[in-house]
Amino acid sequence: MRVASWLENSFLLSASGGETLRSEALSTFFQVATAERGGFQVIVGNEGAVQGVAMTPTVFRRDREWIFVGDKVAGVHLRVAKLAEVFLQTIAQSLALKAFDPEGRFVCAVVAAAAAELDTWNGHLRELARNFSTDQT
Amino acid sequence: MWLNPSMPHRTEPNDKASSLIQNPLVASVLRENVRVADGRDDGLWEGWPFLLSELPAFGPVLAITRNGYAMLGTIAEYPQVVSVPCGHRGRAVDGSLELILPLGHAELQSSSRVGRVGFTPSSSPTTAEKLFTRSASPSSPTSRRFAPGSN
Repeated sequence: MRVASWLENSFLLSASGGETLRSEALSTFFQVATAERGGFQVIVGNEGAVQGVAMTPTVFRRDREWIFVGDKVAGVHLRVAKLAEVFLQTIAQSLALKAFDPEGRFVCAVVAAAAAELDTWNGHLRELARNFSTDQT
Repeated sequence: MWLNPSMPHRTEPNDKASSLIQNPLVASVLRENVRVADGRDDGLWEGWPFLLSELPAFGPVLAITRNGYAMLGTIAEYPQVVSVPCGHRGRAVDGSLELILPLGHAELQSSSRVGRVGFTPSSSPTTAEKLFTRSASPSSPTSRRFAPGSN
């Protein structure tokens, strides 16, 4: 059972109703976004704070269980090898990726950039979901 | 303020095994690793709400929020944090940084949870880029789009 928190209540970060993806989907998304200079927003939170950052990544690195993605002024380290669940979910009319740790706690979310064209953004994430859905045989 | 050379390599309160090797930046946001120039280590913590309110005057800072599996940072002018019904909130003018602090200032003073938020004054974007990338090894980006096995 997921940890109920203000985080989920305030930011719709619960994954209920979302499509489950394999955890590799997240690093693939970042890798492709870096190659294509695609912009997005990353949200990381804990019980005491939430920070949201807009970035257009120019750097993607992998170091054992961690990845890093960032540009000149923003970056995020993610322990992708230990993530338990990645979901694709619709928030308002925009798709978002959400990751949770093995204890069901929110790790991060990736949402569209403020200036993103939603049809294009949603199309990218649907393509990602087709390739990484856990429903695939 | 700097990293104490003898700082404990702990990334989570209940994590006995160090994962700092994989991500040394995590240590920089732990309370026990923060020291001030004259060796005092208690004044900074008690003055946290005041520090937050004064941060916009610093100019660009490296603002970091983390949990056990992710650490996010950006260089931006720290926004004015204002009270909202569920706590405090701030947003940079250009939208590059947004912060939500659900606790009240009195709770911020007494709660250890705020130790998961840190900041570091920064003079240039290059500084952050080096900080963020120094722990990672190169990996070639792929030209394939969103396909399994491409990473």
